[in-house]
Amino acid sequence: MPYTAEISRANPTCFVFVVDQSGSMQDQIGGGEVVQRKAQVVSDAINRLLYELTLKCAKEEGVRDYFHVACLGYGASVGSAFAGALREREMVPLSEIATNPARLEERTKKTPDGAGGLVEQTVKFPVWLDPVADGGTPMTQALAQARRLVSDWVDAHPSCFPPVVLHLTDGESTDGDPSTATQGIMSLLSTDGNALLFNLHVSSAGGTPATFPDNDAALPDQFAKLLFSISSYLPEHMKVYAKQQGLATSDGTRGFVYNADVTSIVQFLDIGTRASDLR
Amino acid sequence: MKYPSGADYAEALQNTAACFRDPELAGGTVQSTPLGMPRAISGNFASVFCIVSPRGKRYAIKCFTRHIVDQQDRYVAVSTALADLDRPWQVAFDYQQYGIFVQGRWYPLLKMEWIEAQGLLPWLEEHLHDSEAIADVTAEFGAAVSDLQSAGLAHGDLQHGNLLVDRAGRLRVIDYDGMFVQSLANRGAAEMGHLNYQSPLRTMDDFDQTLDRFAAWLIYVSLLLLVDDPGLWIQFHDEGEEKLLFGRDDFVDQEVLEALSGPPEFDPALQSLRSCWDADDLAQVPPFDPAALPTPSEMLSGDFVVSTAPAAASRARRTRSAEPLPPVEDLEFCGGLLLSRTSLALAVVGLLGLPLAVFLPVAGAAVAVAGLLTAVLIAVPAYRSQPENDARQSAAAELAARRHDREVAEDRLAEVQQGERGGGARGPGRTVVPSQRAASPSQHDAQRLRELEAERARAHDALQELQSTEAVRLRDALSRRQETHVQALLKANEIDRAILLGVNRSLARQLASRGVFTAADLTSVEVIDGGGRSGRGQTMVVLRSGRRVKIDGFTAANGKSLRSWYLGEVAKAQASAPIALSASETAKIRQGIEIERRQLKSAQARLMKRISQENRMAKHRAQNGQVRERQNDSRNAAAAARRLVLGAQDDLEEAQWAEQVAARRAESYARLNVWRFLLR
Repeated sequence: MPYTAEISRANPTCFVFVVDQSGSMQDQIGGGEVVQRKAQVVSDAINRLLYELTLKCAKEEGVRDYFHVACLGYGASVGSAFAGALREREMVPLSEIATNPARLEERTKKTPDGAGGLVEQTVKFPVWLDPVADGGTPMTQALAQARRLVSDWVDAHPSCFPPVVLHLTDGESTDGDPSTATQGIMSLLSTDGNALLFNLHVSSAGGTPATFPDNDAALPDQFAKLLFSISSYLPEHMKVYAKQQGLATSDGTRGFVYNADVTSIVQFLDIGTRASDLR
Repeated sequence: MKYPSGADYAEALQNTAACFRDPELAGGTVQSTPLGMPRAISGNFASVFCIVSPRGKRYAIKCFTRHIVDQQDRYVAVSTALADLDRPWQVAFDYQQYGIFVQGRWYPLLKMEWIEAQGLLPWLEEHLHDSEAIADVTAEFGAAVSDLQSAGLAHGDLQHGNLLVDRAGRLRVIDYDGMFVQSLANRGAAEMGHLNYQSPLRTMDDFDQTLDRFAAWLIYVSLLLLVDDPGLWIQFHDEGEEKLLFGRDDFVDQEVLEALSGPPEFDPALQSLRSCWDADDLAQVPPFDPAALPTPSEMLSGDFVVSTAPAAASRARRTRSAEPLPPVEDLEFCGGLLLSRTSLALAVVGLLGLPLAVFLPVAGAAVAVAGLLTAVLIAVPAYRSQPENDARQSAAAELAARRHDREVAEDRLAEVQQGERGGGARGPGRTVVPSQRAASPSQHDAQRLRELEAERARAHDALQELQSTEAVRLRDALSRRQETHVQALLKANEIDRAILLGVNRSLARQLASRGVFTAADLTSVEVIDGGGRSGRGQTMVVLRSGRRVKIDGFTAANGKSLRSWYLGEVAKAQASAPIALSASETAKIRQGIEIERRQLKSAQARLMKRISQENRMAKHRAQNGQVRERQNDSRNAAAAARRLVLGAQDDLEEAQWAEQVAARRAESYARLNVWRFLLR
């Protein structure tokens, strides 16, 4: 059965985040009280996820390299999106990520005090990725680069749990049709199955949000439909996990989220990086 | 309910005054990473943090990231059961249903005493050369499992991560989340345990007091083997592997047992593993009972290796000291009574002559002299001729001889004892240094390595070949696709519909009787001009099966029109056949090849790993062989020296006894003197 390979230090796997950093990521997301820039929301979500991963893999002797992680950004240029000590690094073992955030930010958070009120709390927040919004949308180039990273990875780890590429974008490619590159990613495989490509689309076209849908009927434009069609089906264990999160799933459920709110972006990353048990 | 994530907890823990209600935890300090973030140790459904209470006491706080059914009931049951048990390997804990406040809600936590300890894997790596420490931990592990077993409990997830060794070198067993307690029997298992320690047969439905058997055997035997030969760690444990010596792969394909079989002292241990691994049913896994195996301390001393046969034999011999010595006998002379009495009478007569000499000096003196003289003259030869005298002499000679023997035996013992001490200085111990000369692998190992190498070469060739297969497969697929297309069209062309081409209905029936209904049923038409009964020629048809049949009633002309119809149809079909594969077909073929390539690569990688492992093992075995040989040599020499000493001791004991017996006999005869001869 595919997607059941053990993830261990001896048999690690990788995640590749591909992040849209084009000028339009400057736009705002959400309504009501909390209005944030898309770029900020996306980078926060990925930073949070990276911290989550380092905790998940923390053992008594330190963080274990169950995963290696790459973050590619595309906008004014295409390349590693890590800031600080990891700048320009592509595939980075998780233990190095754990010890090398660009900085710790002090953030104030309003949290419920348990008595119906809210209290302000200052918490430290590790940051690896800065919010960037600048330039065009060279999506095809970025995905081709992701393909190369995944291809190198599966060559070096032929029996790994298949790599997962998580692509977060807000718009249409400005350097041609990305489907060749995405097909290229999904056709790469390890003995445990094909590499997975999940897409998150924060469109300005409006329309009903969709989280892990199994058809494209409700999607408003061609580009959303294209992204849906180039998203991998969710493997079984991720579907089980999505179901536990209260999401409806079916055989056709794909790793695709349209016009998500902040929570859904976090959920997208959470489900998409859900590994079977770590050993 | 969705539980907080590790990061949620880590965030809440940045303010311990707000997140705890337990007075020992509230306001405590969280142990941090060098970056200043809370330091976590995570498992699959919880993260553990270390909190130092305001009064300086350390606690481990387990925060759950997944919901566990009946969690509170489970912990209460486990807590009660363990409180009754009260063994040194236990770690105290306190389950708090409303323990930690995260994002506006209370969540449960588990508060445990913090123990300064190392996980079993890093501890083993540091203590590989301290076989005594490993032996102690092994024994403690066996005892802990026995404690659980006899209380009707099962831990549920015995594995290296849940076995700690504290600073005092004592084993501590942690993580009681999956424990079986009788009162939880109908709740079912909460988890499946570590893959590398559980039988592949275990399911979530398996939840009873036998749950630990498989893991307990696996761990105990692994540790026991390591006590004997720490080199096994280097052989069988690759860096980063989540196992001791054996993992899931080994349970399924038991090659590892083959690699280990050889040293005879391993046999009982390997036998235990085999009986666990071979079980077709969890119920067949034998109860954990290490009594059949050498104990860790026996493994340590290696006593069971050296045959104790000579020592045993000597102990089996009769111990002389236990046997009573013969008593000193009160012997009497048997013969010569008449002579002795006569001489005694004469002596009495002679003595009577003495008072007579007062009155009749000459006569008295004569009587006395004659009487005594004759008494002596009779008595002395008579005494001398008694056989008892010979016996006494021989007893004395015997005693002298035995005394000499004993002295010789004493010298001999001193000599062999000296020899043994001398040999002992060379040391028959376990610390034999392998020779610097590289040990060459045994013939068997070399053969196996050659086979593996050949296998790897085949995989390599197959991989090379695969690269050129893509074009071939694409071409074959296209030609199959075209063929299918043509056949499909031909099949659609029933001969009936071809009547207009000069083949009338009855002829069509003739064709049908030969199994030819459509153009797809034949592969060629042969026409023979001027043959047949009518002289108008004949027609043969080659069927798809390759069979050549004559069609009755077909003239050459009929045949020709059939042929031209057939060829026309084929040409038409071919013209409309696809000239390229569809993108999806091509992709599918490429993907198929890719899968094969991956499989081959992974097989190749596995082989490479296997080869390097085998190489290491062969080297280790060869070196081990040398060491063992030398160990055996010196052990044999020591055993031989020991045997000599034991033999000499026995000989001495024997000689001493013989001497004592001889002495008793000699003493008995020594009483048989001349007076005893006369005065009886």
